[in-house]
Amino acid sequence: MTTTKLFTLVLVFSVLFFSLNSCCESTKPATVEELGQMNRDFAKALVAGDAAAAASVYDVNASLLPPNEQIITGRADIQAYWQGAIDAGLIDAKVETIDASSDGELGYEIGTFELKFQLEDGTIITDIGKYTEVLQRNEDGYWISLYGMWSANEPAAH
Amino acid sequence: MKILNQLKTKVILLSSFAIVVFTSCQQAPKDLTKEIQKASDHFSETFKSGDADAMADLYTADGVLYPPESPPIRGSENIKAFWQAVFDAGITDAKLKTITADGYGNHAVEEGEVTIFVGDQMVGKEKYLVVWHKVNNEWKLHQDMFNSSLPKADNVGVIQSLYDAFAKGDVPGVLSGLDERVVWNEAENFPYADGNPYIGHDAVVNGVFARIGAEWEYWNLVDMSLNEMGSEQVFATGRYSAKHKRTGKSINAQFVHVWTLKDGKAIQFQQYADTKQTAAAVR
Repeated sequence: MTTTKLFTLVLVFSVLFFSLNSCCESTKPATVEELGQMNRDFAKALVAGDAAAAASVYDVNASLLPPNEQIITGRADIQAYWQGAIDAGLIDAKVETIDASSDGELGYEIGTFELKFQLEDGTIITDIGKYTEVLQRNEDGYWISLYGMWSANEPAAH
Repeated sequence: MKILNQLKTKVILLSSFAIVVFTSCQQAPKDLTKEIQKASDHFSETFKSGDADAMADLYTADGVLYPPESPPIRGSENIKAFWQAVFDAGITDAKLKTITADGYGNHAVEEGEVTIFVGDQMVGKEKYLVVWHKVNNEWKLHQDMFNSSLPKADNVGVIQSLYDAFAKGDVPGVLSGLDERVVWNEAENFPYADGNPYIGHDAVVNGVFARIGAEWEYWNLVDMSLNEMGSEQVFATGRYSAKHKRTGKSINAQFVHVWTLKDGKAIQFQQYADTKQTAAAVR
């Protein structure tokens, strides 16, 4: 093998290495901060009463798995679902990440939520529970929800 | 020659590096529906065996359960206790069906549905999101969240309408909230505890309601508060405001009623009350 050939080989492998490395740049494990962004944006949209913005953090084919209901699939139906929550008197929404992890383009975030609703008679109901979001990184590097599921920590108050 | 050898080493190093990078660089998650369905089948089989230790073994060492109406449950011992309680409640089968499962490296996420049985009777339909981890070449549940797909029974509403009917003297209205085989127990030493337990509509009507109607000028339930306990029980607190016909004596006695419901009807009633005051009023 001549030195020139070897140099060519080195060059080829270097290019291969760097190109692959750059492709992996985007598949580095995401930070907890990045994985929790979707739900913080979601909570903000909900409090602002903007169901379209709340639905935009879900993939177009995402599914919601709410307690005591069938699975809701697709962004349009998800928007309608959250419009329902806004119409039910939602006044505050807080989320806090308790665990988040990713591998490649797939990740999840688990957290606790606190939703406050004000009923027509003025009564305030607080709903406290936990949620799981299964996430996928989109072209913009934003972790969007593929599946969202939650449940209360206690039986509903009356 | 020396340079040549160094270059050879570099090439080998670089190419192995490139291979390592390449294999860890899969872009899209893989469809693992079939593989995870197998892991879920194993879950269903373990459930059927009723072995809570074996259930806990299905989870990673730091696995977490997120059941409805409960804070997160962490750690092998607590996960075992959770499944033991499910078995103790008489649940015999949980049949899992994977809807979709996607994997990436040693992680997989699964969306699925589970049908719950007591013997041959279906008692629940739930859905779940599970994050699986591959540990020693075996898929283990790492994050397990599930909730019911069926509408929540409005147990408090059922019991409230039962009290509303009682207040109007609407006996058929009361009975519509009671299971035909309801088991009714008055507080020990209460005047109507002599027939405990009253089983079924007729026994309750004749043994309790008819006697109250015949012996008291009025019998009202006041200052009531209804509270849900778990998913199948409601307890009511309040006071009996009543006047005995024969003695003319009145009572203002505290009580607690504990109701157990199934499929929207009361199957059990247990009264706790101030028996001393009531006994004094009828003497």
